Amino acid sequence: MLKFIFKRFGRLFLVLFGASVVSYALVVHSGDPLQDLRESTDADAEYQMELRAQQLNLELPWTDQYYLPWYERYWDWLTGVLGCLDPTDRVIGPCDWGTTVNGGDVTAQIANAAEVSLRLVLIATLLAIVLGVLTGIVSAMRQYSVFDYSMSFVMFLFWSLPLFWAAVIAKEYLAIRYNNWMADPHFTAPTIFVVALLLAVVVPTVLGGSPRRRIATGAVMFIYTCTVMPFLDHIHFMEQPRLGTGFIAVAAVALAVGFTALIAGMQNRKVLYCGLAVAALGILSYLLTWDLMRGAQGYLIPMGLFALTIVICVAIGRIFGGYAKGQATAVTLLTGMLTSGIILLDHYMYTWPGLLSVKPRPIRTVGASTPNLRADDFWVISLDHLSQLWLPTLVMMLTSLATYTRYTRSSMLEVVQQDYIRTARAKGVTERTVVLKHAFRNAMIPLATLVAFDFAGLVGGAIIVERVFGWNSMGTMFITGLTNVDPAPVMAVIIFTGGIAVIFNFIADILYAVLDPRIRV
Amino acid sequence: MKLRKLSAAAAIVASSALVLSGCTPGDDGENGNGDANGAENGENGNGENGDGGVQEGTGGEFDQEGALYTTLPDSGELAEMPEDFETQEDTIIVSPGESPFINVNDDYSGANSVSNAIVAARMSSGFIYFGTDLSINPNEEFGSYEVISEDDPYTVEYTINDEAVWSDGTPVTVRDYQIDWAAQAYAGTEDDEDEGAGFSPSGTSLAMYIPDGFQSEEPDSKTFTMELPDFYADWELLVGGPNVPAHIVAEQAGMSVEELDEAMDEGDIEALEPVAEVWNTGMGSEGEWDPEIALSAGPYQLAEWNWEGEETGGSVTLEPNPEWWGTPPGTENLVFDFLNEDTHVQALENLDVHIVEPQGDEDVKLGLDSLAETGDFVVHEGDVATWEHIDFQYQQGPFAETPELAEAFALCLPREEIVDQLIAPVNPDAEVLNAREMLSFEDDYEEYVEEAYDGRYDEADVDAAAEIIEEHDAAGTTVEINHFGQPRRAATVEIIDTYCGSEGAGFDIVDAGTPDFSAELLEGNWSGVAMFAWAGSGQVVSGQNIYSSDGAQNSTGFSNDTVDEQWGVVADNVSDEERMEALIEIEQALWDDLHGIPLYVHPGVVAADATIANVRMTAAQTSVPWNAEQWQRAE
Repeated sequence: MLKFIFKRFGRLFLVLFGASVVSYALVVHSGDPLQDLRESTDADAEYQMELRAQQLNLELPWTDQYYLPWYERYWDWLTGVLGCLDPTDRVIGPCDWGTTVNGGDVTAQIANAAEVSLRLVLIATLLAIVLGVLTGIVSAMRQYSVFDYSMSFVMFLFWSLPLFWAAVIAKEYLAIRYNNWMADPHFTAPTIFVVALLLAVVVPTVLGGSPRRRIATGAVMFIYTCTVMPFLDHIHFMEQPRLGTGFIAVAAVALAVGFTALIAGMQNRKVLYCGLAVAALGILSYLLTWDLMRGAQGYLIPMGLFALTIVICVAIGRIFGGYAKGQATAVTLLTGMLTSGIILLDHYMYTWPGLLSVKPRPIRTVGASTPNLRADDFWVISLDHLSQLWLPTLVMMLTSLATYTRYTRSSMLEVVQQDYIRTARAKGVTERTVVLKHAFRNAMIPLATLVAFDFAGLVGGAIIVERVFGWNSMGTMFITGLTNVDPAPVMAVIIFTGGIAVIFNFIADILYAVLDPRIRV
Repeated sequence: MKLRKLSAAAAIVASSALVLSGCTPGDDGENGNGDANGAENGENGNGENGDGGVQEGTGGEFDQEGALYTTLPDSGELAEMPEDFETQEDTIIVSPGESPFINVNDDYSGANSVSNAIVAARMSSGFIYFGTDLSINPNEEFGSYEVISEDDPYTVEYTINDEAVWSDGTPVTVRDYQIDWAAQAYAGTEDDEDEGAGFSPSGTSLAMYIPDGFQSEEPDSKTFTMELPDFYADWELLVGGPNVPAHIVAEQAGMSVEELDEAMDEGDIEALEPVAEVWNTGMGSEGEWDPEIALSAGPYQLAEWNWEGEETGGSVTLEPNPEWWGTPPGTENLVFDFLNEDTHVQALENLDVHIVEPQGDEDVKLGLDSLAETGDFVVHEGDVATWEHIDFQYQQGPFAETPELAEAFALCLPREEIVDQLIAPVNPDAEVLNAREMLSFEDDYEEYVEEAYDGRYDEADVDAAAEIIEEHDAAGTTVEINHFGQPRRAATVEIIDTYCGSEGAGFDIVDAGTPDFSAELLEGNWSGVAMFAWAGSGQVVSGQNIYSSDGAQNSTGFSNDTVDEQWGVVADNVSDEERMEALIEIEQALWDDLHGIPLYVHPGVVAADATIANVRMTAAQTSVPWNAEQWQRAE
């Protein structure tokens, strides 16, 4: 096994090395770094050319031989980067990712850009996986139903959306028009009617059941929407949204009951009580930690409380779960985490009017944060970041949702037809256990590879989204580097994204080898 | 059955929720919740300016129809603001493009970007500024200057306004200019040929033309002189505003101002090394700054600097400089948001920014025009000081073998059509450019062209061109049109092909557009013609480098005795009339001998929130924020 891992690891470096040689040569030959100066009639143009030539390590004088051969420049760059593997700084030299055309430090820049990119990609990928897998399972369970067909249609629609166009549309409707509407947010009667109608059609198709039941669900949905929306409008929910203790309590209990029903079955009282205990604790902690959370100055307190929640949930599940402690832990953990999420949502909702007062048009079409946001409150700043994050995340998520849905669906369908599923059913195992325990787990295996590929692909593919939303991260670094014919920042991006790609594949390879001993060769 | 149980449980929980709602924390409305109605802060100024007297532009030469002006501008200069012009509690956000503000010291080599100059100019002021028509205007609020000796050495006396101080109250003196001179004079490191102290300035022309530095009675005088041993026609551009406060640089470098004076006088490289370090990046760089160090001598000072890396992004917020002695700036918060141009149209529509100046291409213009139709936005159309032209290569290729073919090419060139099809959609007032040393938006352009050019290439004359080609038995001669590969230039080649190509005059037109051409351009190893643009810098003598026989930027082997001789006159110490006459003679010779043909001035576009008054487009590189101090919301 160790030998296998080393072999893979070595190959990883070879791939990166090869990629770096090829891309360096391509970048260096992609244009003329002095172009803007050559067109300048400025008296200092020549001096500036010399400066830039020095910065980019082009050979002087500029009369005949302009450039060092690219492989020499590459060698300089490579030794600088390899220095990062040398902690003593003696053998190879100090770690140096080079400087940009203006003399800026690439190391600091890539760190900054990577953080922003990851923020964007990580959330979008996680959301896409969760939503995609869920829709995939439901689609597979209701194969050839209206839901299945309409989901197929919607997913292919999203999948074929050009990112650029989708982003522009999202900005138009979800930023510009939403902001216009937010100036005086009220639901009109036609809006309410349309939304109610939409929900009355969509919800029954998702829930399924006999035609009678569908009609009943639809009618209930319609009436519910028609009463709730005017009510929300009446209490100025759009300007001053709150969930309140009531909603949180209902949601926490519902989560506990729901997860128990899903994972263990309602007859398993031990698990149900564990879940309900966590729900009760969640409500209690919502009230107790309110002031502590409001006083937060950074992500430390929310993250710390979240970590504590996880510890407590696991402890409750383990200690009181008894014979079903595995299932109990799953239920408590899921209930606890989601309840924390709902509580966090309530905190953000509480901050919403505060954000509106400093940012009357709450969704900007550009940037990862709002310039000149005159606010010291951590919550306002954090909500500002979120409001900026949500559009690009939505666009990226929607366009990558399709792969997950389709893969899950087909993989589920394949597994469900296996003999052991039939055997399980024949044994009288409940449908819940068949789907979740026997079918779903096995259907997830091929998805692991997909996630590895997709994540790396998204880091690279985020370039367009970043550009369109004016996010300053890897994508912009890459493109400006390329237009300046400035190899150092471009190479930093390539090594970073390339590195992620090979490392994720490396991890997937090893996981496979662990899961399936036949693969080791 | 199970379901019924579940719904019963849900009903119980739901009803208890109502009871519990009563004790939701934070409902007291003390923090953020509950003041949503106080939402109108920055977006709606309340026009407490008193005068209320803004006028709408009428679409004259210097104003835009539909835009608002406190004082209607009647020239390229800054309009005079009324006495009661006051700073208004408001925020105006402008995006000058995506390259960010990098260094407080604008003369640092790493900060040599347009954005940097734009932001730095708000935090400084100087003896001169560029008007919207590229005119050089004296700025009397800052000081005055006059030529006191026309003979050798040509001497100019500068006097800084007595009230001019840095934002810490220290007077602006000659020392603040001397340190800039020293930075250019002692540029480079010790290893360089002429030993430097480690300064890294963006240019060295100051040290080149005034080798001895500025002269003054005291090192902290308000009056100083500049002596030019060799006359330099663009001397006016040499001295603008002070870049960095010398007293702060000295303090940061751990020396007294007297020690700094001495080191600069004597060229003490060793003593200047710490100074260079401070001068380069110690005044505030890459988002790290200190309000005590990054001082301002202009209407605005730095308030917030959100750094997102030097390639793109981030923002800078400026606030009024409390020590500013001149006309108060128009708005309390001036924000520069560095956004890439693809995002400008929607960002403006969403009022994420209030003023944008994207590249003037047709798609962007269409988007902005449709915004303007709502009446909430105004689109300004105009020229920028970059002009497109075609140069003939006389060292090799068809025009080296048969120079007469240049005339044929010039005759069939559809200049009118190119402008109509490619430029007019962005700037409806665009016209064919008929001069090289004077651009169409400049004051005396009409008279200048009348003298310099007889209109012989006004209309594309395919037949006359074909005749010349026939005469030299040159039908089918390949003419490569070299350019950098941009879409607009490729489209230009297509238009030229229909007139000059095999269907027209009879050349074989080849589109040789490639980004690589840039490296070849000045080397001169290309044949046919080159189509590219020169960026005007407002200098008088920059053309000497291009058109003289031995000019460094002459890459076509063009040589004409009249041109060489008259450039000598232009660069010499002569009166404005004489200089103009010489320029006209040069221009005539360039038309006769066909160095190349000017095509058009690049179009520019500015779009702004219609409620902001005094937004004015400029042709100069200072771009639309050139008069940001005057912007103010009118309502």
